[in-house]
Amino acid sequence: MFNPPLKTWPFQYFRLLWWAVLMLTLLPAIILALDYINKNLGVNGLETLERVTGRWAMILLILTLFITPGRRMLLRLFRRIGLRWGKRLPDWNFMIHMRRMLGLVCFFYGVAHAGVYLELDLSWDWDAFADDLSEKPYIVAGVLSLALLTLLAITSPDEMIRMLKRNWRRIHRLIYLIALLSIAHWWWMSKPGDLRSLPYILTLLALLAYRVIVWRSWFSGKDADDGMPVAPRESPRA
Amino acid sequence: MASKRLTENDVTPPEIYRGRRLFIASAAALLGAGWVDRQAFPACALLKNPDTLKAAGEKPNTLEEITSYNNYYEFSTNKEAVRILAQELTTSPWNVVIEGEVAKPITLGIEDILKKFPSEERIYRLRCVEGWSMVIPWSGFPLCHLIEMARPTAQAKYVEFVSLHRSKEMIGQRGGSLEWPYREGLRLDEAMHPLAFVATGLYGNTLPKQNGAPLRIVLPWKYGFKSAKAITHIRFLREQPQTSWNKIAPSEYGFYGNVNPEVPHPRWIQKRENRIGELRKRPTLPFNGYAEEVAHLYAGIDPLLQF
Repeated sequence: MFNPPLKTWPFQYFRLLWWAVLMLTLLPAIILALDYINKNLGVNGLETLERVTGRWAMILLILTLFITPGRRMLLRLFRRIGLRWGKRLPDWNFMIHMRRMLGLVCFFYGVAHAGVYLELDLSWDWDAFADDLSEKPYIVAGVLSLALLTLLAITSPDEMIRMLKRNWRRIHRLIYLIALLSIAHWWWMSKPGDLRSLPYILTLLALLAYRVIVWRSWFSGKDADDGMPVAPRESPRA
Repeated sequence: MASKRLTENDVTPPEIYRGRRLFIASAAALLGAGWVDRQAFPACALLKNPDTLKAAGEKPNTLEEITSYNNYYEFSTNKEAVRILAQELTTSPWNVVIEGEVAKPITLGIEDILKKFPSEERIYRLRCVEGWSMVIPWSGFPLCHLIEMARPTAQAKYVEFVSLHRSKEMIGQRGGSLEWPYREGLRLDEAMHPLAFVATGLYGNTLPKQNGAPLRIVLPWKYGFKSAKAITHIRFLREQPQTSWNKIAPSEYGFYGNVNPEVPHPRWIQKRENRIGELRKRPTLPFNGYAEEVAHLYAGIDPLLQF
């Protein structure tokens, strides 16, 4: 799938790590499916299905957006600790190769979330869907968010990256818009006083703020790292 | 459990009570007494269809469902947390103050209320403004009986229900989104409607704390927020009272709060509802399926302007 530039353990065991992370992030979906089969979804089953799928789409979005700043944070941490491994940014490049999988799991939860809404809430009544769209901005935000995420999922394979060249990065910057739309979606639909969405929203906003700060310093020439994906072929920077 | 249901025999026919009132009024006038209102106060009316009281053809929700999913901001905005947090509440002793535009203000203990008004069972649909619904077998008595006893004056046009304010036991009242105590209200003729109910029990037992113990209002044709819980004051007023949700978000919660699939809410979809126990949403009915009984109360009112 890719050629690790360094023979450090996250690269040696990358496949194992990749599968472990995939299974871990899919675990909530598996538990939810089992609860559905065993009729163990709690008092309001529809709400549970909508909330769990929506929340996990959000968590995966956070994890996806955490990769770039997370790499640098771990680098600083490991430099401070003073271990032999982990002092160079490329040591953490394995995280970047997790990102596509995390993004696709996010897409999976988004599709499940929309599927619950279309099947159980709307019963595929398109007139009712049109009414919802005209009435509820948060549904518009959710639909737009998932539509853009679908575009990113379609353009995620290696062949598409090769084919789209520079445009691929432009397209995948839409993830920031997706994050904003998802925040709006959740915040608008939360009732006043219900702050359960707040930790997720604040984390996402912090991750977006990080980009703004990086871009600003990038434009002023202080830091060359624009927070965008580092392709494996790029030369490692210390 | 044996349930007592209203029959025609339980209700005084209107000709008779009007006659009685006329007699009392003329007797009072004769005696020169000012305490009896000249305007005859209507007694509890009859329902057009007594089957309405049984939510015919609908399966009541389980006790477990009804007691573990509660919208009760005095404790929490999290409906699943209320069951646990509400156990802190002391419901005895409990007094209900009846005041305002009444012949004589009175304070009743909960025991007096339970003694004074014979209990009957009513299976009502409950539709929450948040888009979920239940079918609940309440026990209690019609609100009109209590109003009759209170003897509101001719000036009384509205009733206000005030819920308990005791932040020591109600953790949600320590800060939070609403102004405490919780206040709700009705037009007097709405309150006199035979469907308007005071619940003191659930499934034949005492009302659980998370459901509004020791007594709450139940208005099945209105969104749940109109049905105030843990009532401490019932006030008869000349003017329309300021209700809690209407105060903080007047564009979202009108004074009437009638269930209406055609009146949109900015957050919740009102065309459909999520019946607890079912995964698939079902359509919401005008006045929560009680239109036949209550629609006449709102004749001439545009539900999009006064909702």
